[in-house]
Amino acid sequence: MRIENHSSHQIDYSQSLTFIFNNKTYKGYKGDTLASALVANDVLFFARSFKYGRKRGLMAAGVEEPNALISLEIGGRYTPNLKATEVMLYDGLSAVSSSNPNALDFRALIKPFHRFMPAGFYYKTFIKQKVWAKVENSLRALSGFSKAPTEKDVDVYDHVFHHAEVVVIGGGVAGISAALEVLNNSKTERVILVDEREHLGGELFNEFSTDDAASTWHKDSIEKLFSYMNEDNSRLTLFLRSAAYAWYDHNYIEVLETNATGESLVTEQGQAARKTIHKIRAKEVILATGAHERPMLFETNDLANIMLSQSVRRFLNEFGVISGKDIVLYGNNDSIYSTAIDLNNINIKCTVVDVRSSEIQSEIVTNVKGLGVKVFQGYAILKANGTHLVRSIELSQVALQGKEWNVSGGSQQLKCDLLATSGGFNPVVHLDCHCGAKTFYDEVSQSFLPQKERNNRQVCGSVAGVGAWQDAVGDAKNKAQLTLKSLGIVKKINQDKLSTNYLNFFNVSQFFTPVEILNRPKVFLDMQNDVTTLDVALSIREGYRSIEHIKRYTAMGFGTDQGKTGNINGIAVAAKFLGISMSEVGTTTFRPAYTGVDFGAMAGREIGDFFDPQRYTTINDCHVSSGAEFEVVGQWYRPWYYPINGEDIHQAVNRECLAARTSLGMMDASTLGKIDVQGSDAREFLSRVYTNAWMKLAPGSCRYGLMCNEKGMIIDDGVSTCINDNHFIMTTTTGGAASVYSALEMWLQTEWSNLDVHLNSVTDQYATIAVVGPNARNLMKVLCQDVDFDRQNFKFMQWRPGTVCGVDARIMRISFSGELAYEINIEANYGYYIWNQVALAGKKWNITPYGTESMHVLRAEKGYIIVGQDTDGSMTPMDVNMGWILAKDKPFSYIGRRSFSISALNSEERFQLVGLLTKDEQVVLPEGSHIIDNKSRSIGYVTSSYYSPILGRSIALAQLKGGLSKMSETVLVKIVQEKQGLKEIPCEVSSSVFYDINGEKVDGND
Amino acid sequence: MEMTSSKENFNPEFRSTFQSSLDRDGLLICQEDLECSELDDKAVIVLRTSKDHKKNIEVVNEYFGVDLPEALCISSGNNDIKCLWISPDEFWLVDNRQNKAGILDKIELLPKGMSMIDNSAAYGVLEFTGKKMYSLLARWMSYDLGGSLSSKKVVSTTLGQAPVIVFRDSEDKLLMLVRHSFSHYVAGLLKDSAKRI
Amino acid sequence: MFLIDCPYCKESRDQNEFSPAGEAFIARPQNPEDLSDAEWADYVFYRSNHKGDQWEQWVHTNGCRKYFLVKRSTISHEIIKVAAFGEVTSDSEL
Repeated sequence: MRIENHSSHQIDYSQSLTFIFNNKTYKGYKGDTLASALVANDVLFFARSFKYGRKRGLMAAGVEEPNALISLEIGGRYTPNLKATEVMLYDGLSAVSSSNPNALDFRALIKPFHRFMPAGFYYKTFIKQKVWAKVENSLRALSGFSKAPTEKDVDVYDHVFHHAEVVVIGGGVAGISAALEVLNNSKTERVILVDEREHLGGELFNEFSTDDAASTWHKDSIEKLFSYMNEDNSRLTLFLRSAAYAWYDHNYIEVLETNATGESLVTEQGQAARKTIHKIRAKEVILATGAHERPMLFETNDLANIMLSQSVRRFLNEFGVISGKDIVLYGNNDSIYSTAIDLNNINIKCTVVDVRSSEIQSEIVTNVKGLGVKVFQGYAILKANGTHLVRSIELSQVALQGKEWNVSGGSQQLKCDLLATSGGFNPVVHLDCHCGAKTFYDEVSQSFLPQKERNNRQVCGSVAGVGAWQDAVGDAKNKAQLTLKSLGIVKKINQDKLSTNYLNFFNVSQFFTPVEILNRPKVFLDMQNDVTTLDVALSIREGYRSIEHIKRYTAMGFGTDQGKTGNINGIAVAAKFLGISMSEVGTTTFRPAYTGVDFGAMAGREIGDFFDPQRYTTINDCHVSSGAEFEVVGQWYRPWYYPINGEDIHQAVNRECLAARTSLGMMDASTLGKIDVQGSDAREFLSRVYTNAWMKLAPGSCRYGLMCNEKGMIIDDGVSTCINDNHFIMTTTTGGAASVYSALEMWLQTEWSNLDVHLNSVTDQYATIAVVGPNARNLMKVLCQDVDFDRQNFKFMQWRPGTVCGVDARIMRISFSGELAYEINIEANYGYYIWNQVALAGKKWNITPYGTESMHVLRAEKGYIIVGQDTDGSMTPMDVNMGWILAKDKPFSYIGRRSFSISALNSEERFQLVGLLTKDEQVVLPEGSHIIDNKSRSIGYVTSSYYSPILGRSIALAQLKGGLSKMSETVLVKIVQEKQGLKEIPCEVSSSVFYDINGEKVDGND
Repeated sequence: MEMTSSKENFNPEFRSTFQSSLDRDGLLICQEDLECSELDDKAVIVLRTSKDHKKNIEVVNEYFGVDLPEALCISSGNNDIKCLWISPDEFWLVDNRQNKAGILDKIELLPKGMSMIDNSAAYGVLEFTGKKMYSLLARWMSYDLGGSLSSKKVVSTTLGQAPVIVFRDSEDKLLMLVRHSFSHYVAGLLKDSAKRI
Repeated sequence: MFLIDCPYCKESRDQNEFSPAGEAFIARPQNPEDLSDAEWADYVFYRSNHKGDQWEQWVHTNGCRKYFLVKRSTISHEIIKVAAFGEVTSDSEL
């Protein structure tokens, strides 16, 4: 229900909102979370738990909430598994429970069997694969939370990089104080302040109604902060609604900012980003993330309306809502009394049950008693009673004997409709530990505190165990001074004094729960995954000692809340059962993300066209106008084939190949890697990295080179051109350009720095247009007037400088098809122009542009390998029948040479490249099909396979065990044929050269 | 066969790197406090230096009229020529395209261990102005442009997954060299992010 | 994403500008033909895979493109020292 006449920073009562939850319509206000609005409307059940399907209510008010999981919106804006406490209410919000508490639930129906289903139940019962296979789908359908989205996310998400000298994580008292101290004492340093809530202030808002100093301090501090914000070129950046979820090496912090949880952000102006990930590199970090309350443990502690005490207080003070009228506050520290005071101030009945004996006489205890509130001191709750919802509690006296708590005396019942507990506070250390920093268990504060020293980082406020807000201000200032010193801004630091008991402001009693309570059933540690104290006991009985194993055995801490309220209690329980200290048990490893991050936010804008760079040649617009279909080669978009008049790929490729072999084709070869090699040792360098000889290659000539790695395996190939004795241009495959260039630089820099050689990438400098076919020479004569193209004067594998249509060019006679061919290399800015000129001049011979598919067919007909397709990093030059390319008498042991003589590389059982001719000429083998022996075992596979239009039949290249000695034999290739299933196709092992075996076509006819 | 230089009969069409990404006014981005345009009249020449540091300095001074800069620095010379430090043995000369031939003429004169290549066609040059330019680039560059890219400084880094060279020539302008094969990608990223700035 | 101080650029840069390039101080044998198959395999395949501080080669791929040396902990990922290539040899550091 809502408290009358409530006012706070949070709620704007002038803006009423309507929303739908589980198909019912409700009203709320701007500033409400979905949770607070539902509390206002007396909704008590939010969802069901993971395993047992128990009806659950809210436990907390913030990110530590384990129960209230909802699915928000539908369709393209659907988000599963959000906590109702994190969803800011907006008009028209629509949400459902992740797992409906109001409908029948199978898990809940089999409740009598739950005691037979402890931790490990599913594993032990269904371990036999056959059994699991039968039940898996049904079990998965029953358990769990929200369903996965089915539609594409329609929202936009951004990533932004930031740099700051100081990042303050947490905008509560300590965070604000630290940020101000840094700003007040520095001039140019950039400060970023991050907080996950709507307003700066954290838990301080809870103090406003009882402590004027708190609200004054808050008002003044916020004003000062905003004056820094409003300066020109402000050095303060404020991120609200922003959760810092990861802390990586060298102070790299990732923050998820939420612009809108579920509203549409599409306007006339465009679409704003729904969430933004801020990637911040900080010199210094100040962690002020606060602490989470942990609950008390007792039987059936998961009934609805059993909540955390400070969360009840936050709902009351910030949101003006409360879910009960007859409240019991239960705990082991002073903080429950501040909740009692707040309740008492608005005349809501409450009773306090304090495990600590009446010897504890903190001032606040005395005050509360003085207000007339009934206080039970030295009592513990054994059990909560009610069906789904708490109705009463059973309590009994307890006493501390040495280090053990024991129940004494009989029990009595107390009615209540809301039970709010506090077992102490857990510093939110998670981020600090992401990079491997440790925590230590502090006996005074009864909590795990962040490790004391850490480079370029300070911790302050309740994350450092400092409980009182005034002390937090001082602690934050002190730590900020240390930060300023680390930055070299101050030499001598100021240190304020804190109160004497600053680490145990709340007088938390020693970690409390009598063992007899821990041994009861249904004492839940992890609400979300239904993990109880008995599950921890079971895992220990089965021999698991480490908390990491106990966690994984029981699934404690696995859920969306990542054990924020349950894990520390779990550690205490393990400590008790193992008979060791909290310190010895330790915590499990904290890993990013601290809170959930949307997949869409992770992807940011790197989706669709931006997922990978799409690289185009300068000729690309021509291909698009010609209607080319594209294929992706590495990052390049290359024309695949150019269909005309509704052709499919086969028709287009057949036409393109025949054109190139009978008249004239043209191809854009600009994507190949090109490396400029200069220096007096250029020849020597080439000799060392290629298998073949280079010392005698004359200026004006080109040579095909094969490159191997030190293992003797082929990694790349290409034609290199001799410009002059000190200048060569290497080409590489399109996909291998970057890695080859990198490998060459590695050899040069790390092994051969004495060589006088420089390498420069010129891949983008030149556009390359291949002119291919019997009429190539005729065309070149038209395009270029200052080169002698006569076959005697311009031989195959030579190049000439010339002018093509007014543009300086290098013209190379290189052929990847076996036909007469010239490659025109011009500055890339003229690529588009020259392509159009070539197309125009070539019309006379019906010049046909062809793409990568035709290029593959043409080269396969000639048996030319494609590195990375016919080779896979495991083929040597001998394996592909290119032993001839290994120069015999090079003085330097070139890369890979020594490996060639290793016995394994000379075995007859090696996979060798051969041709395959299907007996049925029209069958085209799918690439990747396996060649099988008579026992149906694979003895090789098809690497390249095409229909050859010039031959009128299919051809294929394959790796075959011992293939080179199996010429003319018949082998079987296993394929799946459409509508016919698995078939074995007989093929003849042949030479890999299928066409123009004597290489006569390369000189042309004229 | 008559061999004449046929340059005079043709009018070769020069297409700049970003030509197809520009709007009607020839700009890549034009918004309040944020403008991005292409400078299509620049030449980029890669100079590789020898191990003889003294000789390198002499040669660069004498032939190109500019000092050899320190790590990550830019030096300016006569007129518009700039020398950018790319690595200990790699310097880029950036000048107006009409001066390119004059620079390349010096190739023959370079001593052993030094070499030079024209890489002008490989790159496009973008110029950014307006106080929102940092906000734009911060969406894709992890480098601290605002804090670390001082005047006369040059940095090779990445914009998204594209390698780029960013340099600050004067206080209010940033220049970026982009390989033309990445230009479509870079233009796309920048235009998309600019929509939300 | 951690930072590496490039010894040539003399500036701290993000990890994404660099590529790892294997274990440091592995020299290519001067005369491979004199080595036995086992010795050659040792050079080609075997690496120490040390748990603790190790010297590695890195290259500033999206920067100055130069190779250099990094001493890094394979346990904590802390970068202990950075050196230009050749500035430290195995003798002085191991």
